[in-house]
Amino acid sequence: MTCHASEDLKNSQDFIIAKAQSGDKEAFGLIFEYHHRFIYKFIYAMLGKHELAEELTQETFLGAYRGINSLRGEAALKTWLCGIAKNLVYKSYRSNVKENGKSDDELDTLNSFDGKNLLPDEEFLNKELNQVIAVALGKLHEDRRLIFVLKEMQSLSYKEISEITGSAIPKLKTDLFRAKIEMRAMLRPYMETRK
Amino acid sequence: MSCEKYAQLINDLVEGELDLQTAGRVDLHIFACESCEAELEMLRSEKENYAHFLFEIEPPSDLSTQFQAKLESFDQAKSVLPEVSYGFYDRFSNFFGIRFFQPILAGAAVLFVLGFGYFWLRNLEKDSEQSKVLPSINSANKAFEGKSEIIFPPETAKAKIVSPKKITKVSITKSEPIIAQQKANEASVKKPFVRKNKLQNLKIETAINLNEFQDFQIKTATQLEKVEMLFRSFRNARFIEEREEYDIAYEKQQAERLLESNIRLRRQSENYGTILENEMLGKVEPYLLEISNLDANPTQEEVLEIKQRIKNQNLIAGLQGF
Repeated sequence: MTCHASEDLKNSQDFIIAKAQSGDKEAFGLIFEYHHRFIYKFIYAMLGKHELAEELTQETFLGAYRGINSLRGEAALKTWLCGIAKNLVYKSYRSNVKENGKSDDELDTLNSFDGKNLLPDEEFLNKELNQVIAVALGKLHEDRRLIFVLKEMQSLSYKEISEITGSAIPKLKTDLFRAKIEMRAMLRPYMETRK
Repeated sequence: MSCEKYAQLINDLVEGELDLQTAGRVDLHIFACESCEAELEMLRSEKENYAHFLFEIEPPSDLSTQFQAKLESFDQAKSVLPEVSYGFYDRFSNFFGIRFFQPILAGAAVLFVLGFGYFWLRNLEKDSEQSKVLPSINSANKAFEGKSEIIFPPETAKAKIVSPKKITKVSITKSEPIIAQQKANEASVKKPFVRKNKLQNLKIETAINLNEFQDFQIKTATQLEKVEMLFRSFRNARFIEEREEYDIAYEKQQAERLLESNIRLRRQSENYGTILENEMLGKVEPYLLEISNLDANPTQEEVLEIKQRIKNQNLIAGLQGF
């Protein structure tokens, strides 16, 4: 690892972006390959549905393809893509509210889990925990869920999250702290039975 | 400070988002407070659970193919759309997005006109002041009629405040307006030289700054390379089974050394505004601090806990890619 290596890495990314901006579909394909897993996971964590995550991931990259020329050098590609995905997720929430009057109705994967039929075997404990986390996550307020997912599950820095959400870092810290407290309260009954 | 006030700080400590000084303060409190120590442990284990949540979630393997097909159909649909013939204004406005930015452009135009007007008026004012000053110079020279080689201070722009008392050498006879004109000419000839010197100085300064910046980049790269090596070495630290302890004396010593240079480089990166370097140096710093704060022979739990967090943050891979 040298200084040149990091420069090369940055230059190659800039080069791919520049190629994609000039309409090179192959270059855009590379961008998709590099980032679609991150975006898919993000949308899944926010909405809790694989089909929706699949659809919105494609929408995100289609939006990015349309607006790639508006991407400026200083904006990191990942946070830019995440910003587009976030807008689509929020749009999905809003359409759910309009259709069903409740934002969490679409999250049937999360809400279908009531905590009674937990998997019995020890080897499934982690899966079980993930299910419980998914349910709790679905009950968090959207804004807090967004910060919680980006920080705790996708390990972005406060600075990157601030770029995506447009919120100031102190507000992010407070929201994350509250989200953690809420999550702990929701997970407590399960954690106690697990002990 | 009460424990309640430390709660948020402990959370930031777990997130690795505290500066060195505050982290030290929080560490001290945790050391003395059992409930806060328990809180820290709880937050760490919760973070580990949450971090695992998305590990097994994977997009379908054909998502890439699906997207390529969607992209193709999108491009085809775009090319099938009837071409509308645009006039010059339409094309121009579409190109610059003037329609969208119309209010902003109008505002900018007003500001430009106002600014231009202000500077024009200011220059006009200066000109009139200069024309007022000239007769006063003439009259001052008149007072020394019959004498020549009047020495003004170097900046003739300040000629207007030069009083006859300040004029030092007086000799040969010459007519007064010519002398004033000569001095003004001399000044106008000297000025570009001053500018040229300033430019040269600026160029030298820039060259020095560039050298410093290159030096900083090399040092940062070396630092991060060493940190990567340290983390790898820490990951593979020797476990002494008889005593159930790790032997990390070497890693601890290295971490202490690297921590100092890390802080210095991180501050420099803040000054230079290099975001990537700053971020990476900031990320590794809490771990350097923790490793340097460990005993030479720490318990298995202490070491595993740090190892796990380094793994969760993908730090070694991040450093390798940097």
